[in-house]
Amino acid sequence: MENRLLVVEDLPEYRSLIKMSLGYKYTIDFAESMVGAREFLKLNSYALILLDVLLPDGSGLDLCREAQAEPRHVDTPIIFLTARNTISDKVIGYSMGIDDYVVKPFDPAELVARVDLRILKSLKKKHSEENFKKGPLRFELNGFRLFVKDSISEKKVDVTPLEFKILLKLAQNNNRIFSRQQILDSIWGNDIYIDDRSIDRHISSIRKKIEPHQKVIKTISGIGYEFKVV
Amino acid sequence: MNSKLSEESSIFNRLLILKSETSMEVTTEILRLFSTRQVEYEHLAHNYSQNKDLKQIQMLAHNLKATSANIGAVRLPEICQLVEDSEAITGLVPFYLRAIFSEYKKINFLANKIFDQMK
Repeated sequence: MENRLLVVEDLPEYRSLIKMSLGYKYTIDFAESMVGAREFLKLNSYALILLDVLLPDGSGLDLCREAQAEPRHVDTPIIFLTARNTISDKVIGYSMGIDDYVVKPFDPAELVARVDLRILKSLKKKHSEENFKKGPLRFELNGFRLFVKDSISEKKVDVTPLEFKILLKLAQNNNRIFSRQQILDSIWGNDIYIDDRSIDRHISSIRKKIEPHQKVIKTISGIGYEFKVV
Repeated sequence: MNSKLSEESSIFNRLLILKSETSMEVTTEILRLFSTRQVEYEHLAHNYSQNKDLKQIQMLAHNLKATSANIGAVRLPEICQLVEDSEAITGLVPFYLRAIFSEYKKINFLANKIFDQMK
């Protein structure tokens, strides 16, 4: 998916140009019409969609709306590729949430640069949504995986799902003090009775696992815990 | 004279970019597509005019604007834009269409001549 593009363009000259410019690093599905594009959109996910605005069977604007309404394509960057270069055309495009606007005739090298940049930004966004970083810790949110930075690299630390949740709760609220009861309520819920000292056992275990960074969790005497990184 | 020179230099520069950033083959293909479509476009424009189908004429002008600009043409995209901006098929559209196909022939000849010299 990271390397697959959908190009919707009816003019063969531009398809040749795009194939030559981007084909060496991306797998490209070419559609010449809205109908063809819809077929591809049903079947595949794409790293980016390059979309001509005026198509023989309709407007690329409609196709853009359709793609954005699909969960599979909602985060896919879309670049309009068009010979319509008035300010109002651009404003309409940007107001629809497109990511970029390339006016024909374009410079092949510039097109490559723009496509690369949009894909890179999209991947970074996805990465930041799937990961939470605080100080020396990185939480991989989808897999309950925790990584701890040492002086050179990063190592994976085995934590239980409960430990992951407790540490994440604290780390997401840097400098905020939580009572034991607040931690219990937010992790286990209000209706379950658990001895609040069990939190201490979990914290102790977490501290051992994240050494040498155990001091990021501070004990606040008589209250609870605070996560603190500068 | 100056306008002809600027048209020539624009086509030359664009073909040079296409040749250096893509390949000789792709540039040849782009020129070939532009050249071979002339008769088809003229035929279509004639039909659409007779049927008073402004939308199709504008689509044709839009495509021609994009493809001619892609080989560096200057005046042809400008005339195509006039057709795209027209609100009715009467008035100046038939005149613009004649100008488009007269210009198309010139650009076709000029671009192929320039490209032959670049080979």
